[in-house]
Amino acid sequence: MENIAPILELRGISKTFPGVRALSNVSFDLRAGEVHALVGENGAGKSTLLSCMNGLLQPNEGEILIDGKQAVLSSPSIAIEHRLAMVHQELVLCPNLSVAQNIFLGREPKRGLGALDRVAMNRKATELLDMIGVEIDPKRVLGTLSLNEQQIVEICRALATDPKVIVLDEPTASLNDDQVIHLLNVVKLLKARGLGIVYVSHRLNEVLELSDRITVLRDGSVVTTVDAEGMTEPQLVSYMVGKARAGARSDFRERRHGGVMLELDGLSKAGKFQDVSFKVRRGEIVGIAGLLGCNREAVAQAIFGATSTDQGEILIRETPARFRSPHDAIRLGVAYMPADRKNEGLVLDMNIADNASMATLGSLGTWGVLRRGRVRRMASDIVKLLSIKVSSLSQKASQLSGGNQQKIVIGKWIARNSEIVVAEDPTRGVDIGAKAEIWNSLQSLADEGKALVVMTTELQEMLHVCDRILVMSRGRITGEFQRHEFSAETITQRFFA
Amino acid sequence: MTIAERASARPLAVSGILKDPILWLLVSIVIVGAATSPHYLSELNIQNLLRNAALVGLLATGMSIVLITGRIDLSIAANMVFATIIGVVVTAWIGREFDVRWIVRGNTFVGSPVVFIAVSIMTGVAIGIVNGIGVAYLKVASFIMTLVSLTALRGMGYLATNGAPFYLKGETFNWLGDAVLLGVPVSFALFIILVAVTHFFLTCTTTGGRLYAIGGNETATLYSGIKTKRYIVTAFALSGFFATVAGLVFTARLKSVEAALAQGYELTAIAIAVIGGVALGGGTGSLWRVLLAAVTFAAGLNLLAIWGVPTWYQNLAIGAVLVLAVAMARFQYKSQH
Repeated sequence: MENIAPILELRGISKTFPGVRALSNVSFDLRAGEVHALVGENGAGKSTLLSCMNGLLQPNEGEILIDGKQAVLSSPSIAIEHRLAMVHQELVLCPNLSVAQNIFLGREPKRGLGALDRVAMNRKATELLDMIGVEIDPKRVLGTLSLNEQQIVEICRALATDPKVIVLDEPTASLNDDQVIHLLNVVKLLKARGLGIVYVSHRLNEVLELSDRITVLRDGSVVTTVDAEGMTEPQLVSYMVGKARAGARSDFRERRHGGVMLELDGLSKAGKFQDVSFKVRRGEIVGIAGLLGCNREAVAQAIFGATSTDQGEILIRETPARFRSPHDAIRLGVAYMPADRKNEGLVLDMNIADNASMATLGSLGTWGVLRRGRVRRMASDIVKLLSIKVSSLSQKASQLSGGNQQKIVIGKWIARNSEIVVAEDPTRGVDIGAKAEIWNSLQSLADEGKALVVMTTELQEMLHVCDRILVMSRGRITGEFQRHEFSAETITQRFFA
Repeated sequence: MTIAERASARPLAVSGILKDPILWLLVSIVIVGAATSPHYLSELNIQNLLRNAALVGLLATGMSIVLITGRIDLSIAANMVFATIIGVVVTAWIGREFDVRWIVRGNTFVGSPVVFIAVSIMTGVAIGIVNGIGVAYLKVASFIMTLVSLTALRGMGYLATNGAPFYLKGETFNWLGDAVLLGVPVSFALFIILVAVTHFFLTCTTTGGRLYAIGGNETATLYSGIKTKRYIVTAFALSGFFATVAGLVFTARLKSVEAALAQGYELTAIAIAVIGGVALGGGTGSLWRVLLAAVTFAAGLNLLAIWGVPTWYQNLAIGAVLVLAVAMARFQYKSQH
């Protein structure tokens, strides 16, 4: 292996933004037929490095070599010419176009006079999809595909440029465990075809399973580049977080459960979920597990009044409640942390103080005139309580890392003193240290006697903190497990019931 | 800019204003104006300029409020004309019904200014509310909803007047249109006062904060328990209010109103709002800068007029300025992020 020349090499890359040194002296190389993983906490510089690789950003120092020749990647299209393809974490596809149209967007096969050759396009799309062993009809409209199918289309789109290097930025972030396995198989296939793969992921188990080598970034520098063989997760974590914070994790806490705070009684919504019934008591954390498409998020939205229901009842403190909008639910003490915190949880262009006070603004004014002192005091209390890392309360929410953003969302509801908390994927895209802190904050809420409903894509996290786990499959509850009955295997089996 | 930053800038931080490129644009326009024309800095011309600034500025203020929520209101120019027409028609009708001796002779109207102003404003606000309900509750895209309003209001304006102008007479109109207080035209003073009040409303009240929040991220705002629809209606109602005040000022200056007036003023209002730093996507914008932009805009247009540039070129200039301002706002936004 050592003798093979790298197909992509970055030497001494540095990148500074006004006031921030995002990368300093980073070197990285990739060989053909190799999976080279890039790991690090959020803010470690992974995204910046990837942007340098695909031409979105130009490094201030250092050089990029492709097949041993120096290359200047001044734009993404030039990177593609150099046969570097990037698969973005956030899907950048057009949901209204067909699979084939998406794959060949901007590179459509043409006949004479510039007419679109749909037949060739669909045929080539099928070839690409076959190549990675997926059966998707290329004529289907993209928006009708599941998230992991869309992810695969995104990969095909990269493959259509005939790359030698493919960069995968957290391709499994929003996928379920079984979908992850499928995706990993696709990556292995690409590797077997001799492509060089840069693989970025927060999921260390898949990184260890998949990669040949792993480069760990911390604070914009390379900590180490190691062979994946023989590495263990704890070792990687200690590289990523440094010695001081290694081993941080939240443990399950025993609590006494009080009266029923939230009850769903035969709740149904056509096409989404049927006959969902469960109770959540004070001081209890109930997890809802299930595959993507089990529609547990629709249940969460119903509890929060963000979507209507057809049948059944929601009872808050044993009294039936009718929600016409989130406003009604919030007044009865329901809080909701959406999975998509950037689009649903925060106003990114607004500052921390304003975001943290969003749910309590009404009570922070006198006759409608805002008491700015009160807003800031409340926000600074939250920042201290949840140890949110901010430079000032006037900092924009968009400038915070994912973990700190999520803490602002939690803080918003702590300020409101909501007694029923529904949290969807509270640790999505958050680094390991912040994950533990977020679970700690959520557990503290339960300690105070609040009732929590959580749903995460990673079952492991719920096994760790929940008192009880419900399983949903295709809109129905198919299992219920008490803490002493928890086992990943038996719970997962109910996913397919 | 966030609410807190706006707040810290509130005591009119002089250094901040001095850095504002719009101010320098205004200063350069005035210098060029003074250098090329002896009339530019004459008292009469400055007053004229400020009256124009008040008119387009009032429209731009209403437009800005709607833009801040991430919507657009294309009906303002039509609304401003229509509301005053309804003001005239209804006041004349009341005069006839109650046999008050207001004179309506032919198309010349002398009626109670109180009734006229009250009816106009109620009409304008009502139209704003209808727009708001269409946008917030019926979920019609604001662009479409207000484009439909624009067309409908123009049509109804013609119906109500048969296309003929109304001539208005009376002290109040003379005062609102022509009077000068301490060297400042009344309409411009009114504009400044309304901007001050609205600026306070936007930056220092909970409602104002929510309008910015809605423009920044509507879902997150809704999910924070805020009844976003009501606030959207409020924004359109305010836009209707400002359109009507602009209409009153306009009518008082012309001493007449007719259905075909003020065509295309909505674009001028958008241009001024954007020059003033209001983001077309919503969530940001400060009314002080809109005020400054309105004066700058009026100063520039006035200069073109003094140079004798034909109106068509002036329209072209408005269009060019709009495109340029949007492009520059984008550029600025990008360099910040």
